[in-house]
Amino acid sequence: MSDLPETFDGSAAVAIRIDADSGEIIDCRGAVADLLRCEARELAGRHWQAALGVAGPGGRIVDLALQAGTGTALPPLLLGSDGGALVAGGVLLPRKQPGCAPFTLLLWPLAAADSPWLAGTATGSDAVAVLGVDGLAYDEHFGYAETARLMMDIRAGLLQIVRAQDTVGLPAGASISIILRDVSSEQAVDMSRALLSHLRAVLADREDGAAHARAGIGLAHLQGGQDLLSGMVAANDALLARTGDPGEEIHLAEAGDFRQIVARVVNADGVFSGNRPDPGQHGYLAELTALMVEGGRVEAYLQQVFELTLQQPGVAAIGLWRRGFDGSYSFLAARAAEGDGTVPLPESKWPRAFREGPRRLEKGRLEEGDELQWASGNTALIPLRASHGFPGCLIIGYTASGETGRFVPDLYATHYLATVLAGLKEWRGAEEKTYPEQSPEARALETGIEGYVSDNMEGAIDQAVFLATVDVPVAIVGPRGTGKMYVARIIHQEAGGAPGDLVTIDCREFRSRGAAITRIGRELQHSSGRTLVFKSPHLMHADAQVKLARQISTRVLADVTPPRYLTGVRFVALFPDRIEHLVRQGTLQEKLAGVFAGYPIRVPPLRDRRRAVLRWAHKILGQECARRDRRIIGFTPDAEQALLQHDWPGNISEMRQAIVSALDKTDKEWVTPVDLGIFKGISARGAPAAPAARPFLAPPDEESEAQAYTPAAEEALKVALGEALHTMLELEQIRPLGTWLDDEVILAACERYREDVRGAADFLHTRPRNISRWMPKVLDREPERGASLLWQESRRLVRQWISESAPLPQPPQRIAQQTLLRHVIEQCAEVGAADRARIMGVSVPTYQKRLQELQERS
Amino acid sequence: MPARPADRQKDLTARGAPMSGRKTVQEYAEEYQRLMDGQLPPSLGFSARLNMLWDLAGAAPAQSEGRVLAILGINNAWRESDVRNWLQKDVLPPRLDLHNIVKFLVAQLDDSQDIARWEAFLVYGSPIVSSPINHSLYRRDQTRREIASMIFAQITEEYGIPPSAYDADKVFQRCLTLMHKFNIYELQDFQPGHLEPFRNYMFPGD
Repeated sequence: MSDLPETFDGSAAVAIRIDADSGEIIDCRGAVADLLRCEARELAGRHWQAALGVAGPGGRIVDLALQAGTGTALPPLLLGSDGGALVAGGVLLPRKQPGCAPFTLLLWPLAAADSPWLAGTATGSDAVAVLGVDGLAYDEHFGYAETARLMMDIRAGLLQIVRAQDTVGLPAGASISIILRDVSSEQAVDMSRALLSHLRAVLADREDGAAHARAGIGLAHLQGGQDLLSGMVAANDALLARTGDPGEEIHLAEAGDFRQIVARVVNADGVFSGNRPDPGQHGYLAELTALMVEGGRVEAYLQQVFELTLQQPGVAAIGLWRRGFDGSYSFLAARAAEGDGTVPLPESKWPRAFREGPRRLEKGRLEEGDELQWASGNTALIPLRASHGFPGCLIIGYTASGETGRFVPDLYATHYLATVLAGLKEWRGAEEKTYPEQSPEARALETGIEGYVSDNMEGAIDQAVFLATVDVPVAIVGPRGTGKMYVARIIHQEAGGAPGDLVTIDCREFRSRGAAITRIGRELQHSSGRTLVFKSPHLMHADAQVKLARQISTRVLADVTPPRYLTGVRFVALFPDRIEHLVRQGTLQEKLAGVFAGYPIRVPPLRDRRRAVLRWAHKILGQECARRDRRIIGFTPDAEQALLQHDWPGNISEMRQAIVSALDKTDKEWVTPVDLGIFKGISARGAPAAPAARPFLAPPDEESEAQAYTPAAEEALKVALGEALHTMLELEQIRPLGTWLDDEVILAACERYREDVRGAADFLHTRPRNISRWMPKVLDREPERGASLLWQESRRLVRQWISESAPLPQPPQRIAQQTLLRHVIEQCAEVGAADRARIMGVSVPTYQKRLQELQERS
Repeated sequence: MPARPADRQKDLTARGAPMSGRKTVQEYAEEYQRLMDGQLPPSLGFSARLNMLWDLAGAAPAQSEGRVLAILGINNAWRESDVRNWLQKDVLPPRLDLHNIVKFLVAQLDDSQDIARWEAFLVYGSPIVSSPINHSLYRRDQTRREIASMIFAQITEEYGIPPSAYDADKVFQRCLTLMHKFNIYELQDFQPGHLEPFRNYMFPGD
């Protein structure tokens, strides 16, 4: 016989008595079979830790609580493992005689692996985040119901920013779970910061019990083989560990202190809180929140809602009244079940209770309460209340059979429906001022930006316009992606050139001295009235450079008899670095340098043109939206902040790439930092990060331009690959970096040669049909590469390297693979051959073969 | 760690150097021999800049239309090969010839320009010598001139500066110069905080 009271027998909880000295279970009562999956007698005499299957941090918590020897509330504990695991709430009851009496541990179930709200799966590359709101204050005006509304609003805010593949759970107490798919730990932290920053609008300017609310996130990256439930517990523990009052150290007692205390205690279980949508309503709510508002049309949306609700137990008819600004109600739509389907319910066929509904609505001040009212025995009036008012009221008619089992939408569902309806433009149209739009504060997209968005590039455009008026060969100097070609076009246009007369000669393409001289000679022969733009002429053979220099400086065409002047032709050269620098490096011949060194135009990198960043971003977004025929409101404030703070090493090309990639990822009407994949300058508190302090007056940079060192793209890529591999090993993840590297090289070559597949194939030392063969798989892997944060720098540098290189003596993939292989040899001493081969993206025999080749060569 | 001054003094004294710590003449001579160049470094872009000034001055036809011969017509004391070297091979003319060429060409320009600055610009180029062309650029930029007019009007109104208190042309040019320095290219670039520095620069005596 157990000494524990019989009252536990009928409850969902289990009471366990534990011997204070040995830790053995003396006896237990209650729902033992349900909670611990065994009979009570099987537990007697076993050590509590083994019997309960509580290990890891949970075991330590209970152990330390037992050592403390006093009554303690316990955080959610993970019991058991794998499929049989569950999460339990617990409390250690105070003992009658401290020091000798046994402990009584009370446990009750909170969640199991098969709980409906845990539906879904997670893999090793996913991260579980638990967002919790702290600092709430409960009283008679703000409690469970208001917290539920707040959390539904927060959930809506989260859905505005998470990616399509991420999963946002339904609220539980003051917490919400989020599963971030396929992210590194670093990426998960960045995304969490962006989520919190984005939510500041939901929590700002509140005067109720959430006036001092703060959102926080506990984050757990699933380790190899870890299941979703244990990941959720880890993330919840992380959240609870950070929860506390970060306010003043000294707090004067106030009469209202209990408000914060009770809110904290009620929500102490975090995401395992019992305050969640009723299990019976869970399916309805999940389906309701998944309904799409196509084109913002109220009628079509309501039909879906009605059809869904009419499938619920006991529901025979449903109608909706819209509440006007003056408190009057107008009928909007109704629908009734008929046979297996549903039909619209015209006014003439309304049940009597439906007819009485509006009168009751107008007479009674329904919105003052939150509860449903029964208009008659089988008709319920359910007010729809959003955070910013009462957009309307549902009326549900039930079948005549008894009241038990009737479906009534709960608070979560009605709040959600009210918020969605209030946010629809068509709904707001009648009462524009009543309900604010629920979208983020995206700044309207600036349209009609022509040319260089009035970004004068710190004088570069002025200089180009001036140089178009004189007969001087022009050098345009600037890093990749800054818009040098645009400046060349300005010169051509300002000089009155026709669009077809701008001829670009990509000097990176010439494989030999002869090819360069022949092509240039051909272009010069027909150059009258044209602007010849030489891209990277320093990469040509020295003889070709000298010959070109002679022809430009004398304006006399070579190799023709009699000598012929070059008339009416403009010469422009695009250089990635300063002319003096290229001469010192030995790539640019002094004679050609002299020809173009008259008055070079320097195009500054985007990081030096901060005020142009946002206008550029808006221009590119506008162009890309037009190209895809998509409507985008603009960037969220956080996205603009991130755009401003990012360094843009790849300049405008990189920005375009980021925006294109963001549009590929999102189907929303605004672009967020999560879509852009840039998070610099975003603070979890929501306030923009302060820029680095700069002295008002700074001495000139002592490092002379001659001494400034900029690594070549190939060198920088080598370092970036080493860092990517290092990060990957730290995260204990295997990524096929070798395969990704090949993919990026192929894509970069195709990007460089645009429509010219043969040119790309020549560059890659392969046949055009091979590129067509590789491309489907390369594109299939794009989401995987794009989602990996550790890969992004290497990805950018591969593009830069391929874009800037002259044709290489061996296939660029081979050069890149050898660089990566060297890093693998250096860094992967502890990694087995099979995993090294996986990193290189090849089979083990191929890896061994490549290793041997590399060793023989070196 | 670099030698302390006292230690250096001791070393030099031991080698018979003067107590003042300065290098001996012999040391300077050795250093000079070590640093000296056998020939002048090339003045990259000189020919292009000289041609540009000839273009601006309009005193000779384009390069492809007989510029060398036309220049020889202006001063027949020059040799054709020299002129070709100046115009095509970044070879600098003798100092006096350069001075006279620049003086002559600048005289053909509309505005009063600084001859010495043009000379330095031709030899060393930008950014070692800031471009003397900026002034011409401003004149061509109608948009910026309109913004300058608005700034001018706002400052005179804000600070109550009467027309009799300034030379409008000079103040206008100062406004354009400061706009260039502050990278003001459109109206939204001008902030309230700019008013004070613009007032001080445009009306230094007030």
